[in-house]
Parts: sequence; structure tokens; C-alpha cells
Amino acid sequence: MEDFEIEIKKSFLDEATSLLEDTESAFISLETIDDPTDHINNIFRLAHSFKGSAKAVGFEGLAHLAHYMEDVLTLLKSNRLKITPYVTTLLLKTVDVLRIYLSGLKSDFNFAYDTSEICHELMAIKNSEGHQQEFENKINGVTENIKQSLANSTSDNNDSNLEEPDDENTESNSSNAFVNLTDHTNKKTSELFNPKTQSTEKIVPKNVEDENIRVAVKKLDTLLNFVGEMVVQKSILDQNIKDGNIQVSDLVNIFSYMSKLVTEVQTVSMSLRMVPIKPLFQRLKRTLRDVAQIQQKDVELMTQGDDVELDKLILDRIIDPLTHIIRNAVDHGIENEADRLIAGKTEKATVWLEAVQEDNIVKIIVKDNGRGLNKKKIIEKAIQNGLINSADNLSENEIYKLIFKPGFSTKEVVTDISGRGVGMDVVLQTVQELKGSVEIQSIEGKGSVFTINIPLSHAILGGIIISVDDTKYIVPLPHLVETIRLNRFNPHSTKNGERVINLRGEIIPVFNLSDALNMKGFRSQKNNRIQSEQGIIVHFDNQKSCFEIDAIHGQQEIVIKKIGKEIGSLPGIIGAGIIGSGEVSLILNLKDFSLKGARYGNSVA
Amino acid sequence: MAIQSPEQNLNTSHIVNGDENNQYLLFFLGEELYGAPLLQVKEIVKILPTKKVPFMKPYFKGLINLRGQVVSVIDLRMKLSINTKNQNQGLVMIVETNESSIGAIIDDLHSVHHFDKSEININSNANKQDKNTEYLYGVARLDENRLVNLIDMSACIGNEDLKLMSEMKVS
Repeated sequence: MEDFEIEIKKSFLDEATSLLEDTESAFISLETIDDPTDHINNIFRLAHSFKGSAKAVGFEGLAHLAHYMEDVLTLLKSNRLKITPYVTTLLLKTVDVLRIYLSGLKSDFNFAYDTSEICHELMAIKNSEGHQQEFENKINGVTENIKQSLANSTSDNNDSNLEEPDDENTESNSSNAFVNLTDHTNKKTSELFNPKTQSTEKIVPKNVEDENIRVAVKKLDTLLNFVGEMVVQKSILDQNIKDGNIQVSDLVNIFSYMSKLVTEVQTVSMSLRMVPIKPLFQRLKRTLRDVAQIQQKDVELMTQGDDVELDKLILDRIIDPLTHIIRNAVDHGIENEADRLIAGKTEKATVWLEAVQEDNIVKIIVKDNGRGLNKKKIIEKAIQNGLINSADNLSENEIYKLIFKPGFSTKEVVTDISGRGVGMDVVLQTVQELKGSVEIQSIEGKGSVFTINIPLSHAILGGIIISVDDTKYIVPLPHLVETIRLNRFNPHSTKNGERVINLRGEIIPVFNLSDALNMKGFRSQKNNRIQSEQGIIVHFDNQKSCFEIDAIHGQQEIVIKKIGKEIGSLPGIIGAGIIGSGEVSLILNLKDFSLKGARYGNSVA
Repeated sequence: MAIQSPEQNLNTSHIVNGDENNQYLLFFLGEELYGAPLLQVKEIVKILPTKKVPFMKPYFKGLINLRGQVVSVIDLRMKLSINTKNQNQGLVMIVETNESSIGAIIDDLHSVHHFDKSEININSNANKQDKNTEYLYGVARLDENRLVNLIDMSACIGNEDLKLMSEMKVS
């Protein structure tokens, strides 16, 4: 293949992916918009250009499928076909197929994908022009029972078993019925109501991460402006040097202006990698719609904070966990209509999806007004699966966190949450790999709130420099609460062997950082005296801890450097930075040490 | 593949017109000569002060600031358990791994040499059993009296797990 051919194919694939995102949102809105004429025209144009470009760069298979989709859209445009849930679902399914096809083509230009099924379905609905209602009724009627049994089996087989377990009989009955029906029914139509059809599950090409980003032109202009200014300053300095005319005051001025420019360039450059979260929310809207439809629940998704921006890498990775949480919210959280009415709630349930930026952290909040988390059931399940022995010392928070433990749910939900092997434990793991955290709040009967906190990956961090055993380390400013003179406090010892101090009424555990970092000889804490003068108080998840250190060396803006994998996953170490003196310094995440310290405090050697 | 050591008197007269694949960087660890495939070596720098890292194996010397990049450095002599009174340890060989660079402390450079296939003796399978010396994959004859131990640097320091404990997850 010639070079230019590769180029045009690649650029088509990139553009096509974002075209597809737009198309998907448009399809979803089709159902709720009053006058969809403009919408449909828009979609038609998108599909038409998609088909044309695909053909032009030589992706015949894609063009073929696009052609069928275009046919249906033509009929919708001229009102010869009505926009029904069936039609919308079919179009969304087409988007799914196209997405997989595109993703496969990205890794291999010769990727072949069998789209005959979806083409048939598109052709069938096109041919049903004039008798659309009958056609749909036939399909609906045939699969009504399947949908019913799917809905029943989904709500029975769930991850956390929070509802009352249904009768043994109903479960086996509905699955029997399911088996019988599939034997007799047209395989294609039964798959129509599955968000992931069998054919798409078999061939799921590896997710090739997009190497390109769309950047707002405004950002680039701003960046170029600042760079221009920097060039000007450079010339001024240059000229002054040539003229031999350098006053210290001039230098100071130029430097001061340069500093401002550098800061601005830094800010804009880092923001280039940030993309708005809106497309992610659109995808989630789709997921929610699919799940709600299968379960026959009336759920509405409200979003807020669409234009909060996230680093692209983070966005790519957070979509799976969020999808899982949304599915859970609809699947387990939201009761069916009958139960909602009994509980005095509106038939229509709502899920709120919100993105907020606070300081250095982006919070993504999923809130629902469903049935909330049942603490008793969670504890039962955890004990049943051997995760804990008793719930005696568990705070409400800790009880909720149990659902993140691997092995919490042994049954894999067949229809819904399968396909990607994402469980709640993977959700937590992914979030933690992004150096984030998950918080859960819930009121039984009212609803639940899941909050994912992700630190924005800025390359520059404010931190304080501390030293322990003659080695300097960095503690990120956001973690720090205050510094104290430890020699003014009297430590007490708890029954676990922990040392604590009383700081203005708050009881805070004290850990020795030198011990924590030293592998040899973990001092058992019989020596209760605090050795150091200096202590720092850090806080995580609303809990404070105090660390004994040798000295504090000041505060600095630290450039965070990428480090190799060999160090990257050590406990307590977030990364490495270069401090003012040019030394390399490790950036510590004291949270890991405060947990560790507590644990070792328990097992006295 | 620049060799940045202007102070060193590098004897390159041994470079015969061969392709890069047959060229080896010869260096000293103690009194022994070792040879690494030239393609694996990114650069050589003078040794810089290293910053210690907790929880790592003893031969993990620490981190250095290499022109703004943070690079891990390993004491190669310690890793290969070479005991010698020679205290040189003046240079660091930077090897490029799939994601980043890792440095290995060596004592001195000898030369860049091209070995023909005939001059190389690849180790038989017997030695491959010992995982720890898998990367020492052969011997080459330099001249009448001297043999060079061929070492695969990428395998030696590139992909190995350098952490003291492999499972360091904190719950």
C-alpha cells in the first residue's frame, strides 16, 4: 500500500470515529426532540459523507453498511418511515457495529467484519415502508416473551444481591421459557434487544487507543501568542547582550516577565491534552438507555458539568468504570415502576451525572433516586463469601466499600454486565491506578451517590520538601494539613499499640516515616517516645495522620517526572520530581504508610 | 548512538566495516571484559550522584537526573556478584528499554569491537536453566589471550522485576 493511501485511510478513521460520536448523540436525541426535521437532515448529511469518504479511501465494507443506514434515514427524512423506539434502537445498533468495525480497521486495514445481519435488519425496516406498524408489532410480539424473561433473569442474577431473592421456581421457569423461545424464534430478532449481540461479542478487536486529539483552535492561538511574546523577550535580551548594555534591573524585569509567560505557556500546554467530558457523558446516556430499555424501567439521565475538562488518557480509562456504575445504578439501584409507586416515588426514576472540578481534582458524581444500598444485605453477602468474619468494627463507609472487594459477587450477570469482565473490584482498581478514589453515600429507600475523585494530572505540583534519614522527599501540598512541633505533645498508646496524640481535641495517630521507609527492622512500637521534633499532619479520605520526620526544607513547585515501571508501583511512591537543587526526590503518598503503620502496629513482633 | 565520554581515550581501531548488528561495546567490570550489543546502548555518561529509593533490591543504586529525565541506575557489578578491589565505577551505561531508560554502572570502557560469527561462542542450553545468568549468553574471542563475556543488557536490567518484594500491594 502506498504511503499516501495509508495516510488517507488513517485520517478517515480518526475523523470517522468522531463523526460516529456525533451521530450517536443525534440518534439518542431523536426520541425526545419534538421537531426532529433538522436533526434528521443533519444525520442524513453525516451518513452520506461517511459513506462517500469510506468509499473514497477504499473501505468498501463500511460504505456498504453506511448505504443501508442511509436508505433508512432517507425514509425518515421524508417521513415515509416513523421514528419509533425500534427504529432508534436499530440505528444505535448500527452505530455499535460501525464502531467495532472502525476500531478493527484501525489496527488492521484489512479487517473484515460480517455486517450482513445488521444490513438485513436495516433493509427489512426499509422495506416495511407502508406497513411499518405491522412489521414492528410482529417483531415485538415474537420477542416480547424473551424481553420479559430477560428482564426477570437480569434482576435475579445481580452482583450484590441487594433485593429479596426471587422464588427458585420463577427463575428456572423464565430461563426455560427463554431457551424454548430462542429455539423457535428468529435468532436475529431476539438479538435485537440485547445491547451486545453475540456476533459482536465474538469479535472484539483490541482497543487501539487514539493517538490523536482534537484541540480547540483557540487554545493553540493562545499558546502561539505567548510563545511569540517569549521570542520577543528573548530578542530584547539578545540585543542588550550585543550592545553590552546589561543592567541588573533590566535583567530582573525581563526575567519577571518571562516567568509570567512561562507560567502561561505551561498552563496552556497542559490544557492541550484536556478534552471536555461531554462525549463521555453522551456515551453513558446511551448505556443508560440500553439498560433501562431491557429492564423496562423508565429512567432519565440528567447531566451537569459537560464542559469540565479531563486529560484524554484519564478519559479513555474512566469510561469503563463509569459505565459499570451507571449500569449498576439502573440495574440494582432503580426499582421497577410498580415498586416505585408503592414507595411513593414517581414512576420515572432519575440518574444524575455530574462533573465538578475542585482544586486539583475532578469529581464525577453518579446519583440516583432508587432504593439505595442495603447495609444488612451487603454484610450478609460479604460474610457469605468469606470476605469478613463479622461486621462489628465497620463504619458505614467501610460497609459500603465491601462491594469493591474482589470475590464479593460470585455470580456474573449474564446479559448485562458481562462482555468486558468489569466488576466493582476492577472499577476500584482502575480508579486507583489513576491515583483517584471512590466514595459512596447512600440512604436506604432514597438513593445512592457514587463519587469518583481523579486528580488532574498536572505536570507541576506544589509540595513541601521534608527529609528523613538525610534523604529528601516531597509531600504534595494537597495532602498536607499542617506542621507541628512534636516535642510539645505527649503521645498516648491505644489498645492496638498505636501511638496517638491529642491535637486540639482530635485524636491523631503518629507514624514514624523513617521506620516506614526502612525495610529492615520494623521497630515494634514499645518505644513510645517520639524521637523527632518535627511532625507533619496529612489527611486522606477525611482522616488525619501525623508523621515523624527529621526536618522540613521549604515549599516548592516541583516538576513531576515520568519514572520507570520498576519504581512506579511501589507503595507510597507517586513519582519522582526534580527539586530546585537539581536533585531527584521521590514524591510520597503518605496514605499508604499510614495504613501500613497501623497494620504493623497491631502485630507486635 | 553517541558515546559521550570525551575524557576517555576510546580505542576504536578495532571497528571493522561490519553492520551495526555485529558491533559490541566492550567494557570492564572489575578486571573482566564484558561486551554488550552496541544497538542496546543508548549512551554512556559519567557517574552522577544517585538518590536512594526504599523497597528496592540492594543492587538498585538509585535515581539520577539525566538532563531532566529521571533514570534508574543499577550497580552491575553487584548484580552479577563480581567481587573486586577495583574501585573505579566511574561510568554509567544507559540502556533503552521499551518504556524508559535504565542505567548500569560500569568500571571502564574498553572499545567498540566488531565480532564475526566465527569469533563468537553462544552458550549451550545447559547454562540457560539458571534464570539469573540467562543474559550472559556467550563468549567472544578478542585476541589470543582475552575472552569477552557477552551480555544482553536489555534482558539483564531492562525487563526484570527490580522490586524487593514482588507483591507490594497495600490493601
